[in-house]
Amino acid sequence: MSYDAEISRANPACFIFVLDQSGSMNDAFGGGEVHQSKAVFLADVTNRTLHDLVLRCAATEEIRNYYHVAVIGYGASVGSAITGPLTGKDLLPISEVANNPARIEQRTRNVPDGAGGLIEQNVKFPVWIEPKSSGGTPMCAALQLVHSLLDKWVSEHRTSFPPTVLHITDGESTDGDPTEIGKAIRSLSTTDGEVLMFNCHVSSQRAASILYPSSADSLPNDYAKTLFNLSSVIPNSFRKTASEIGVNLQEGARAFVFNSDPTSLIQFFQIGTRPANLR
Amino acid sequence: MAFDVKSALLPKNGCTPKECEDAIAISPLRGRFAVADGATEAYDSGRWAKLLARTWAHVEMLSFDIPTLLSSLHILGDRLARRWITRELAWYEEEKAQSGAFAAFAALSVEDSAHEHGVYHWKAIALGDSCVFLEREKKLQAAIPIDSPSNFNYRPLLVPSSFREPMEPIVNKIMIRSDFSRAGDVFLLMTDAIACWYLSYVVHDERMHDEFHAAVSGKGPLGISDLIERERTAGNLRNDDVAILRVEIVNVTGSDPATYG
Repeated sequence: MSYDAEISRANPACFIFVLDQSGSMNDAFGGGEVHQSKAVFLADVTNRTLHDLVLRCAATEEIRNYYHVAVIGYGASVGSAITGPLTGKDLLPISEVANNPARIEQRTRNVPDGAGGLIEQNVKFPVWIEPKSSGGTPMCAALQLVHSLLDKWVSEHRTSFPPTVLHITDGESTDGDPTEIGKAIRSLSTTDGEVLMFNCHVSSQRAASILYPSSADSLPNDYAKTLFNLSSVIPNSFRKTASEIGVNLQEGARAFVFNSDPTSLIQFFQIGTRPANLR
Repeated sequence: MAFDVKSALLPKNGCTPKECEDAIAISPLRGRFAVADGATEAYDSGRWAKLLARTWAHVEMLSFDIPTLLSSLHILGDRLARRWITRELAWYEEEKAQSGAFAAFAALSVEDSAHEHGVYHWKAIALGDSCVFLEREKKLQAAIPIDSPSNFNYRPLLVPSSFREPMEPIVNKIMIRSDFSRAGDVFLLMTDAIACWYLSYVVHDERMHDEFHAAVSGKGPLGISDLIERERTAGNLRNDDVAILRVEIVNVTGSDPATYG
C-alpha cells in the first residue's frame, strides 16, 4: 500500500471525475465571487484538467496512454458526461480523449515576450464537458457506476497506481446514504494501494472553506461528516504537489474540501491528479 | 591526443530505443563530447537533445563564450521549430510546440596543452542535471554541475529551444569548469538518473566502481544493459533513459586519434 507504482503504458493510472450536475449547480459559485454558475465553472475546470492530462502524455506526434479517464455526471440522468464523438463512452484511454474533443474553442493567454513583457497568444481549448444542471442528486447511483467501472479496471491492472476518484458535489444525495457504496469503492485496490477517493463540496455561499481536514470535529454538520468519511487519507505521494501550490497537508489529512471556493476547486483538481510519481 | 571512448544509450523500461530522449555525440578528432537529456513533458525534446549534442560535437557553433552560445541556441531553436510548421499539428502538439523543447546538456572539450607534452586542457559546460565527472586513479576529481545525489531534483533548469523566457536565470545556471588532465584520466558524461546512481553507489565503492567501468567498456561479465536492469530492479536506479559516455585519455603512438566502442 505504498502509492508509488510507476506510471507507464503497461501500468497506466486511472482517473474518474464524478460531477454533480443537479439543478442547484446552476446557482452562482462562491456567493458571486466568480460570475459563473457552479456548473459552468466545474465544466471549465474539468476540461482544463483533461487538457493538462493529455499534455502530460503528449510525446512528439503521439499520445502515450499513461492514463485511463472517465467523467461521470449525475443529475437528471447518470452516465458519462463526455460529449461529442465520445458520447456514452466511460473509461477511455487518454489518447482517445485527446483526439476526440466535442469542439475546440479559441482562447487567449498572456505569455512572456522574452523582453520582460507579455504578449497575447492564441491557444486552442478543447471541450469535452458541457455545463449541465438539472434534476436531483442521485449520488449513490453515480458511485455505483464508478464502483462497477473500477471493479473491472483494477482486476485488469493489478499492479497499477490505484485509481483516483475526484467527486465534486454541491448537495446531499437524493437517492440514499452514499457511505456504503463509498466504502465499497475505497476497498477496491491494486497491489499498490486502495482506490483513492477525493471529495469536494462546492458552495453557493461565501463561507469559509475547510480544506483537507484530518478530523471530522470541525465539520459543521452530518452532511459534511458523511463526505469526510467517504474521503481517503491523502498518501505522501500527493504532498509535493500540494506543497508546491501552497496547500500544507497535515498528517492524516483527508482528501476532502468543504465549502470550496473557486480557487480551492482548482487546487483540488491539481492535487488529485498529480501525485509525485505521475508524469 | 587520443581517446578510448565507450558509450551506452538505453531507453527507460517500457519504452523502445526510438523513444529514448537522451542523446550522445562524439568527435574524438575534435576532442568534443556531449550528452543531452530531452525533457519528457516538453515537445520534440528528444530531437532537441540530439541537435544540441551533435552540434556540440561536430559543428563550430556552440562554444563556452556565453553570448555566442546563446546566439547559437537561438539559431538551433529556430531550426527545430521550422520542422514543426511543415505539417498540421494536433491541438495538443500545437500547445506543446508553443512552449518549445527543453533539454539538459553537458559537454566536454579536451585539447592538447600548449605548454607541456602529455598534458591536456579540458573544459566542461553543463546546464541542467546532465553531468560531467572526471576520475583519476579511480577517484572522483571533478563533478559538474552536481556533486551529490541529494542535489538532483525533478525540475532542473533546462536549455529551451524557444527564448521567450528571460535568459538571466538560464545564464546564471550555466556551469563551466576547466583544468588540466593527463593520460589515464577518465571523463564520464551522464544524464541525470545514471549520474545520480553513480554518485550514490559507484564513487565510494571500489567493487561497484570496477564493475561499472567493466560493464561500460564491455570488459566485464555483465553488460551495461544487464547492470542497469539489475540496478533498476533493485530500486537503486530510477527508471529513466540512460546516456553514458566514458572518455579515457590514452597514450597512443601513431596517427589514430581514437578507439571507439
